[in-house]
Amino acid sequence: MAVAAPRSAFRRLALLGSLLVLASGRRGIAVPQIGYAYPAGGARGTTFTVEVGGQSLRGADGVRVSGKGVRASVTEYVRALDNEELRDTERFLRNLVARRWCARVMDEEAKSAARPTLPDHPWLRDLDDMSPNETNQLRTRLFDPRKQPNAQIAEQVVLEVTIDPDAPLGDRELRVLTHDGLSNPLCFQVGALPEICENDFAGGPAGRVVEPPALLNGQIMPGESDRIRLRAKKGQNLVIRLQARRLIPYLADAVPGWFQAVMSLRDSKGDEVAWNDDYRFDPDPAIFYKVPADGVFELEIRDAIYRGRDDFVYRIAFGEFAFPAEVFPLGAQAGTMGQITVQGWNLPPRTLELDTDPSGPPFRQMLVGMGRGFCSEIRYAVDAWPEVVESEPNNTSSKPQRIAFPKTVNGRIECPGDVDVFRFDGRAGQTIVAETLARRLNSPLDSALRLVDEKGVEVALNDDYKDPEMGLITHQADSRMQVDLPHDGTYLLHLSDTQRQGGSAYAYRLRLRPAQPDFALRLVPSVLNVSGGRPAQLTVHVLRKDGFQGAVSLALVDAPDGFTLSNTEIPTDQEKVELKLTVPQGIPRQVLPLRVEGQAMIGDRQVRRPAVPAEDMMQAFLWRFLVPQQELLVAVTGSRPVPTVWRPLVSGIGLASTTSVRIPLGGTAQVRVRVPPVLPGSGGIKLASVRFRLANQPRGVTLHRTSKGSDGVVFTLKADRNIASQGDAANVIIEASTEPETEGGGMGGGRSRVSLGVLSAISFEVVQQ
Amino acid sequence: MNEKQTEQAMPRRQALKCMLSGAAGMALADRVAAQTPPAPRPATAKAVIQIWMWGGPPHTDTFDPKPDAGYDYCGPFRQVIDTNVPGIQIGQYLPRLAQQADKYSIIRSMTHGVNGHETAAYIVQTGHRPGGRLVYPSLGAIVSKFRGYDAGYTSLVPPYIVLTRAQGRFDEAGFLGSRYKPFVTGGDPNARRFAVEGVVSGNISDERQISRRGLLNSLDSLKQAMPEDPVAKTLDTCEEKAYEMILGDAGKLFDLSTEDNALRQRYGRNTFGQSCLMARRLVEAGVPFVTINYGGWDTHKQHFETMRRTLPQLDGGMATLLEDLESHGLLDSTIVWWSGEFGRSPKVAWSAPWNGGRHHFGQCFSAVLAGGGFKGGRVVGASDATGEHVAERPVYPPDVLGSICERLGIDPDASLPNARGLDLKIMPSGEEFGEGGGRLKELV
Repeated sequence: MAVAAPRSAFRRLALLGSLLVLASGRRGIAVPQIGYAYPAGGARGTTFTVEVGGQSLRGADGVRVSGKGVRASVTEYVRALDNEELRDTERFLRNLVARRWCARVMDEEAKSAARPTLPDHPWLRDLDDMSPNETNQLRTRLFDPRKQPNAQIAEQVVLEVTIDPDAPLGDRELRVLTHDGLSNPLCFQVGALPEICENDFAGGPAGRVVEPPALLNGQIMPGESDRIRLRAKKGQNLVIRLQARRLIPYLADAVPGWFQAVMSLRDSKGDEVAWNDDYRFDPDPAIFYKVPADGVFELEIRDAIYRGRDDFVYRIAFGEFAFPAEVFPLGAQAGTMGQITVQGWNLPPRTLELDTDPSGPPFRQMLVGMGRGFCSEIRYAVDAWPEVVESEPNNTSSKPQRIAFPKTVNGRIECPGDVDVFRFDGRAGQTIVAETLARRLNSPLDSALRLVDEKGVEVALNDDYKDPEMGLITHQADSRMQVDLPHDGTYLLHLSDTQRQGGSAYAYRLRLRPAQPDFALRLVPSVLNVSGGRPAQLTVHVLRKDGFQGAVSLALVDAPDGFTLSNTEIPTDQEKVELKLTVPQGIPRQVLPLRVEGQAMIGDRQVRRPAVPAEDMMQAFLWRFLVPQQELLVAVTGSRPVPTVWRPLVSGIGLASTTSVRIPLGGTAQVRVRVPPVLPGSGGIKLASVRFRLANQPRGVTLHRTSKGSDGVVFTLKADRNIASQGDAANVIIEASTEPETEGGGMGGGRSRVSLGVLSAISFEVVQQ
Repeated sequence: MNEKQTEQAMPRRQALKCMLSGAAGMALADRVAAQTPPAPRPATAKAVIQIWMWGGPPHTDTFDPKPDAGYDYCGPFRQVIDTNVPGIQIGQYLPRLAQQADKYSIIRSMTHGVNGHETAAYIVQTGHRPGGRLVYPSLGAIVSKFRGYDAGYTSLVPPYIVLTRAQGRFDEAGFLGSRYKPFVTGGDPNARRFAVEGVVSGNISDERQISRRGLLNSLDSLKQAMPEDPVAKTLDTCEEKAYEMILGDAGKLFDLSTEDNALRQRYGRNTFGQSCLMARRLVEAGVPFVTINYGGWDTHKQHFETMRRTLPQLDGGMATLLEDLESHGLLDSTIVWWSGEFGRSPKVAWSAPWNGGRHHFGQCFSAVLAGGGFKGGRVVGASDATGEHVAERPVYPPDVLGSICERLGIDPDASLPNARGLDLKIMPSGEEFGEGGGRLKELV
């Protein structure tokens, strides 16, 4: 076998080839997926550029941002460069640097290397005009050996985003639309602070000094630490609050399963004056610092274990913001004049009115700090039962606080080791529920509940319980017990902190109430892509509460005519059901909101609950969470995949025809590809030594045979009658590879396959035989 | 997921020291060694070759295929092949192993329900669930304890060898102590010269090694000044043994160039294939426990692409190992144990970021046992139609490990010596483990 390329080149080819195989290794319709947006937000009244990384973004022509006042459009699609293009680009950039920095080398390079023709790619335009710094950044971006191939974020679309001056502040959901559907959502924030991106504050000691208040946007790459110079004045109470995990809550293919940011603040002498890697149980760090003297400080941001990737995106609010640290009580009774007292950093105690509308949800939130451009949210609960405030001393069984049943108690674990004991009367066989609300309301308390009878005999004990409604809390530390009381008498309920911590911030609400069977619904995914009249698949999870076991009926609410759900019954005791949404044939391409509701008979009541849209997210390869989203959307897209134009990876190879291949169901169809006997630009690789195989797995379609043709090769595609269906239409991606001999080389050594790249996509349609 | 494996096993110097102390009888008896070992049982096996499929191999693409489960389970791997045992079929990428099926038995109902690498590896390698204050030893360390230096093993080659990288996820020797840790070879047996940690240098010839020794002796003023000193004499003995290990027969054991080239090709000219060959040589030389730590099976992404590349390697290496052991008359006395810490999710993860991957799956997976008195050509247990649940005869890790111990003549129900004097069993009972399917009587 004639293989002229050096081993290093083959290694690189293999690496890059695997990236390309990754990029195309999927089946069927290519629904867009997005993994990050950078910057992940912007200021009101501004227009700016956002880069969104993902997969299957080719042909993106629309953007949807939830809420009002944000408009966005796609200005550019940036495909992943193939291996040949990368090779040419690397050579070109190497020469470019050499020409600039060493005249002697320039001469030698000029003699030895012809200037390659670079592909038409947004990153490779105007290379000659790039500054050395920009050239190095591009080289790092393309060739950093620390970066692993990640097909899920290998493509980008560039958006132009405009936020109206009166757009409401807060988190939105951003999605990208292609001809194949609407993507998953990403968090996109609307703020009021002046925004600065990494390119504007980078530069180390010579970099720009940022004045507060500001919102700093950056990305962390492998092994990287970002350093930002910040100016502060004596007496300022600075808040430096980083958001990363809030933007992208879970990374499925990373351990730990999110960007675990670390911040370190150093003064002008280089001494570290503050450091933080999380705020209480929130993985996103926060630094509070009272500035002792005027000066320029350096803030360092990195991942806790020096990982990095394009989707390690952060936003840092820097300024003198109000930051709530203590809230009490953590809620109120429905329909009452509820008030809370809040205080914290730059936030003297103040009383706030709560929304206690009985028709609202049990968990609610409000924003504080609106006037200073950076908001913090306060979560509180609204419950049906009468309330009482914990009264000390109630620390022992001999001095408990007597409460009536049912009751909601607002209390605090005021100091380390504090135990609050409550006494109530119960009857034999009475079912009671005792539940703390603390962690779910941003209290640091890690509660534990222990129920004993009047003789001190333990009846029940609970530390944590899983609350699947809380998809963003990975350590849901609140306690809950449901108990059938063993006898008439007095019972004592002990509430403490498992970690033996305490303080004025360690607030809780203790619900002591009867069991109230109920349910909540989560609908996954939050976008239903209906393509070509085929139904969309969705899953509805029923989260059963207080022993509810009954059936739940699902129905669309105010849906357009012709929209129907199949299989709408969640049977008794079942946790989820898979459904199909069907829309009428022939309706135009559009995105529209949808509502689904479930109803069940609980006792003699008919109870209705909304199906909350959610994404089924994975953390660190293993754990799964149902994370609620703002919108449930239906995207109706075309009946055929839009033909895509793939640049042939191996130059000189081309499809004989660009029309879609019609494969009979259960039969075969042939595709001719022109290939010269020796692959141009390959270092002498002969066609005879090249192997072809499917790089993706379109449903039911296989590469049945590869044979020699008159001017190249002939691929025979086969549609399996048992898997494919008439009307299936997608692309076949065929990869070319060769197998040079290698020596040693680890468990995979010996003879390895080296990808030469993928051919132009072959679009096909399965037709009746 | 690429997981860097840390080198936690016995370092080179310690390994040399340990092996020499054993060989020279200089090791001080500690409390562990002093306790009474279990009474010997009749053994049918003398050695174990553990093929450790680090990362978790896909049971449905290997020894428990489900061709009728549909595309969402099989992906592009829908073919199965008949074996040389009527009624047993395996995955399409294992044609050579298919021709050796009469030599091994497949357990298709392995289960422990754990999906984390560390915990699952601990369970499968020790037979115990983690928890409490004790870290149990792996099977290799147990064999090292009961068939190694404490039991009269005298070879300079350590009794528990790992080819070629340490497993690194837990302390293999557990509370038995570092004396029973494996010797990790490092290097690559597929390289021109297999550079074994502390034994064979990749760049220094034997002649140069001898020359260096001469230079060292000429500079050893301590020995010259105190030729009768007992400490110096002990050091001298150790040095003698070390050089015997490096330059003598033990060192030559690692020289694969003496093997027939055609045989090496059949094993596969890759690290796994040559590790299998190395394992046969070690067993032939009397080493009682060899682990081939075979990584690369944690295929959350690019699963099928990876399998197309690695399954043929597995097929060639393992099939030739079985053939070769038999042709050398070693299969009857050598157990070949193939297993990972778990299997992989039968349902393919098609969506991003996986793009056709399989995740961890401890609920149901496969293991393979051959030789050493275990019957071949059998299937133990069964999974359901998709390979996601155990349908018949659940088998738990202590059932397998206990069965291997029995073949080796080690009573799995006997007490395991420990420094704290606790009554600890080599393998837990089903009740102690939490669940149990019973030892593999059907294979004996």
